[in-house]
Amino acid sequence: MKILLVCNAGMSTGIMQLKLQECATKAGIDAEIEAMPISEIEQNLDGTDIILLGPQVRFAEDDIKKMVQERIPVFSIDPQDFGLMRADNVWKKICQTLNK
Amino acid sequence: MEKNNTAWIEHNILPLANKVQRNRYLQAIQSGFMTCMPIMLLGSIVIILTRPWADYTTMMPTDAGYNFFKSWQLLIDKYGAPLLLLRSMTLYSLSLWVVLALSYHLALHYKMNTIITPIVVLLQFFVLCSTKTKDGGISNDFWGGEGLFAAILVAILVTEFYRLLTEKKIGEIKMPEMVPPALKNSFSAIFPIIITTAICTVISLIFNYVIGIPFPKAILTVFHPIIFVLDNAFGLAISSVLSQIVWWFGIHNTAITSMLEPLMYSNLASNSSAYAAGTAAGALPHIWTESLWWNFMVIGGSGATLSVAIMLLFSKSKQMKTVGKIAIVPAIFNINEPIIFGLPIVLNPLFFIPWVSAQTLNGVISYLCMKVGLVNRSFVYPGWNIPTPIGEFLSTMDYRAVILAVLLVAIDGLLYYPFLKVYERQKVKEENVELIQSGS
Repeated sequence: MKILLVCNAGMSTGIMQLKLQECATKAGIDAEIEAMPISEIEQNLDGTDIILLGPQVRFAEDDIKKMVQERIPVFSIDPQDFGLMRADNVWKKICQTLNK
Repeated sequence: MEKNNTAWIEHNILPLANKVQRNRYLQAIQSGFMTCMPIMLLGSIVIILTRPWADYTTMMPTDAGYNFFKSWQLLIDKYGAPLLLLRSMTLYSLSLWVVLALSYHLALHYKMNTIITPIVVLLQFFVLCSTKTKDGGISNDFWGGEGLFAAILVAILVTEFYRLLTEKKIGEIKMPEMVPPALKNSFSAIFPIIITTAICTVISLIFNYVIGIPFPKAILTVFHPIIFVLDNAFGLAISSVLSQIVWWFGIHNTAITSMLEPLMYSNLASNSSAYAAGTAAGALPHIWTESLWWNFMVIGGSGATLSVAIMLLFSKSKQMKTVGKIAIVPAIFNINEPIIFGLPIVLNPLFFIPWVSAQTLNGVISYLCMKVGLVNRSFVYPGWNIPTPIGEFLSTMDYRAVILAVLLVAIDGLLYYPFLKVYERQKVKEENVELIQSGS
């Protein structure tokens, strides 16, 4: 599973990235999770299963959905989940979205 | 009621913010300067090393420190040539690096060739922004901080023009299949490069001989009115308020700050050059630099939330205390998403006042301190992740900045305290209700 975490400079999402990695290991899933700024998304689309946006860049959701032409699911992380780093909530949502 | 208000905001303001934020030029400018950070940092280190804090020739041999500063200066005179060369190639050539970096990021966005494009653009920068020295040599007068505005303009305009030529395939020479890609690329670029260079040469000649002002100087003159209106304590305060309002809606404020970067970076470069030339750090030409904003105002993150993170650790509310525990380490490094989304501050009317005013107050107070000479003006930008008060010290090389930094954190704390207390009362009440409910 390849997950892209997007924020503005890739720094605050780095913390979420580590916690999500823990969730994946606990669930026994081999997940490649990368944190990056918006400007790097396009070069990293190969093999990506899902794109998550930090809440401070959620306005870019429509643009990014257009960029991936609906082939890859995109959603914005809930502000409170992001702020309190509730990675298990985010992980749950990832699994729900991908199992659809 | 609140839900309706925020929904309106999300529908009307967010798309506008999106448009500005995604503006490819602002993004390229931001990425370009970020790429050049190591060069600027290197330049700063070199300047600090090659400019003794006091000029020994103005001291008496019996003064304290005379020998220290004399030996420092003599060391530089004898062995400092490599460092001085570095200084010329980093700080005094800043515009060259910015041109390369900016056009690279723009070319990347447009999926253009990312090595040929920056090369072509840099060539045009040399064509447009080189002046003559008194003895007929090429001058680098406008290759440093003075050329930054021209650098940004040239990088954007020439990249766009070159994109036009290559996308419309104007003058493209087609090569047979078996030719290696690198050769194919450079050959097909021949005519676009010639056309671009010819046009820029003509423009440069027009500016130098018809208008009578070198191109980069003319650009500075054009921007002068805007800079004049903006570059003062009022402009600083208004910019800070605007950027915090945008942030309160949960939108990253780079839309506003990337427009300020050209001014802040060129002021910083100008201060660095002045310092290198021997100007006292308290008399440097500019106050509003990159460091003023990111090291003196954004303490703990936007909105100056370092004091908030500390206070949260001692909160009586379980939820607030949890936010504090998660937020404190990032806050030391000036990252505060955990606070602004976790408390939350975003879209929370209660915190609007301290959120907008703490950072702004930091800016105005620091500006005034620097204006009257209580604290040195900044000439180094160590980056926005350097913890307070180290960042404040490094940017001014002034121990008094440390005192100012501590004072600012205290003032921010006082500003946020009443609002945090109100919030805490609310949260504690909610938590007690939960306890009672779960108990029964």
